[in-house]
Formats: sequence, C-alpha cells, structure tokens
Amino acid sequence: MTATRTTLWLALMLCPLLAAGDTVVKAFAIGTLAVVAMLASTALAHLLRERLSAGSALACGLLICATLASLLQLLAQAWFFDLNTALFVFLPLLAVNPALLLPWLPTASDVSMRQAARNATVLMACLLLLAFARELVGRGALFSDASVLPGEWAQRLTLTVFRLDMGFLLALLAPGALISLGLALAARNWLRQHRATGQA
Amino acid sequence: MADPADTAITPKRALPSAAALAGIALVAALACIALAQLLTERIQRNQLAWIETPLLALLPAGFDNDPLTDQLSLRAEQVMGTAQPVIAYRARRGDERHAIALRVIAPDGYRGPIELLVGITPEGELLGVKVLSHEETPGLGDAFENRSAGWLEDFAGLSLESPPQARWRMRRDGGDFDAFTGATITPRAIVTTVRRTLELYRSNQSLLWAAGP
Repeated sequence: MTATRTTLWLALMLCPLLAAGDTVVKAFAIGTLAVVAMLASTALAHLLRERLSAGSALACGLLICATLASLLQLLAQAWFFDLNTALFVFLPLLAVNPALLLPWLPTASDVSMRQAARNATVLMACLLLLAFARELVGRGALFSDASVLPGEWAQRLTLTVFRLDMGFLLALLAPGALISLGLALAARNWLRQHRATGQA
Repeated sequence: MADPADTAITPKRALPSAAALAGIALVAALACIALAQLLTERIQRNQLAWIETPLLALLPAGFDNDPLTDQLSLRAEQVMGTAQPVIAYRARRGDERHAIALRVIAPDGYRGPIELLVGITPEGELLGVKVLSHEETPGLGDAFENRSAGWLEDFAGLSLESPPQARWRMRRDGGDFDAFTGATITPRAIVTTVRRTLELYRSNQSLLWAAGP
C-alpha cells in the first residue's frame, strides 16, 4: 500500500477508537481489543475468502466483524466489568471499524497476516501516543484511569504530573482527539517534506 | 467489471452466496449464544457487585437481611418524570425498617440521564446520594465525579422539612443549593431528582416497604 493510502486507512481506523482513548489506560484497553478483533478478522478472512464469491465476501465480513465485537463485549463484561463501563458505546462500535473490515473488501485481497500485524502495531502506537498527549494536556496526569484495570497493583499507577483543577477538557473530549490527530499528521507530513527537500 | 452479464445476479448465482451467508450467520449466532450462556452467571455477579459497593456505603450498619435481594421495582412516571422504574433496596432489622436505598434516574442531565442511588432513613431523612452512572462525555465523566463528590456529601441529613420543600432548588433559582464548579444543569437535575425521590418516598412509604419482591 502506498503511504497516502496507509495514512487514510490509519485515520479511518483510528477515528472510532479515539473518543474512547482519552487516557493511556483506556486507549491501551480499547487498542488491545481492536487488535485482537483485527487479527481474528484477518485470519478468518484468509480462511474463508477464497470460498466466498466476491459479492458475498463483504456481507459475510460484516457479519463476522459484528460477531467478533459481540463476543469481545461479552468477555469484557465478564472479566473487565469496570472497563466495559468505561468504554461503553465504543466497544460495540468496533463492529464497523475499517480495521476489521479491511481484509473483507474486494480491493484488499493482499492483506496478509503480516500486514495486519503491522497495521495493528501502528494503530496501537498512534492510539497510545495521542492518549499520552491528551491525558497530559487534559488532566496533567498519566494512567489516571488505572482503577478500571483488574487487580490492586493498578490503583497505585496514577502519576500526577501537574495539578489541574478542571483540566483542559477539550483535549479529553472527542473533538480534542481529532485536533490532536490532525496535529500529529501535520507533524508527520512536515517531517516528511523536510526530509524530502533536505535530500534534494 | 468486464461484462455486465458476468456479474449480473441471477438466482442461480446468488444461491451459493446466500447459503454461505446463512451458514456464517448460524455459526455466529451459535457462538454468541454459547458464550452468553457460559458467562451469564459471571456477568450477573459483576452487575450485583457493581451496585453492592455504593449500596453498602449508603446503608448504615445494623441490618440483618440482604438488601440486594430484598428489592422492589416501582413505576412512578408522574413523580419521577421518567418511565424507568424506581428500584428499592430495603435494609431491615428483623421486622423493623432500617434504611432504604432508591435507585432512580435523573432524566434531565446535561448529556443524558444520570442514574442515582438515594439512601433514605425510615423517617424520610437523606442518608446520602451516589451517582451510579451517567452519560456525560467520556473524559468529562471523571471530572464530573471528582467535582461532585464533595457536593454530593452535603445531601446527608437533609429532608423535605429541612430545607423546606419549596427551597429544594438551586440558589440561582431561589433555593438553597449551590452548584459545583463548571456545571449548572447537572446539579439542578440531581437536586430535582433527589427532591422527587423524597416526595416519592413520603407518598409511597408503605408500598415501598411492602414485603416480598
């Protein structure tokens, strides 16, 4: 895939997850679930695609992605109840995430497991990076949602970097997520251009 | 797409696709049902534990029943302003009334309904108020909880007599209640709902304490 296409896909995959990833802990949680679903979806696509006609592959893919999202939600309810409450609507939304649908699209017959793993890594890294920035700016703290993680050890994780009374709410809200994504993409493009002109 | 005739959907061509789709749907449904069956008990236990913590924090010690199971659901659309039923958790000591916790909805929160747990003594005095869930934007949520925590504690000891019923409104609306930092609509919704809950309790006491689920 070309660089622009990758960027576009990345943005499309990130957008539905960004709103849930306002803190590092939540970003890690929703990211992990997305990665699991993404790899499962790709594996199933490999298994089934050749046996499905071009026309029905996407429909089957949608069905399978919705099933994966439901199964993950059930598992989250059973073992990570607080986490499930924290992520509420964003977990079911996984069902229509392009990251899961990608291997089922007629144009994407070349999505290998390796490609999917690479996409997953980039996705996770971006989510964590943005969550890091948003939590730091929005709350002046890191790992502040650790209480949703199971186990006692997690409660001591929260790190207050500086005290904020109400925080910079915009950074925590969904629009702030898109603004920070835009800034990150701009920085990337600027770096890339800088390097290109430097070489010329 | 080369020749339209190649891609045209005929019943004959659609059949294998439809069969594959139906097969996958069946497997998917079975997988969901199986997992849901396997996990129901665990999930229900989680839900009980989720309400248990705030419930036990609200009810004063000394009861000898299990308020979690001694519950009653009551529809009170007129009083509460929402069709969602009120759930009452009753704490008893033998045959005596000890304390009651009402799980109510404040329908007019800033972003959506806010679920509250309101603890009341048998005499109609507030034991405390806890926020169970709200649909404030994620991120805003925690800030809301942190800001409102101290504010919610001030409800303990109040009743419809103190302050008088008419003064159960925000200070800017001519009442006795201050808002908390950065919010007006949410505190107003909570104050209104707590007042309504007290009114509901006063007018339905015997019903709310009636025995049996």
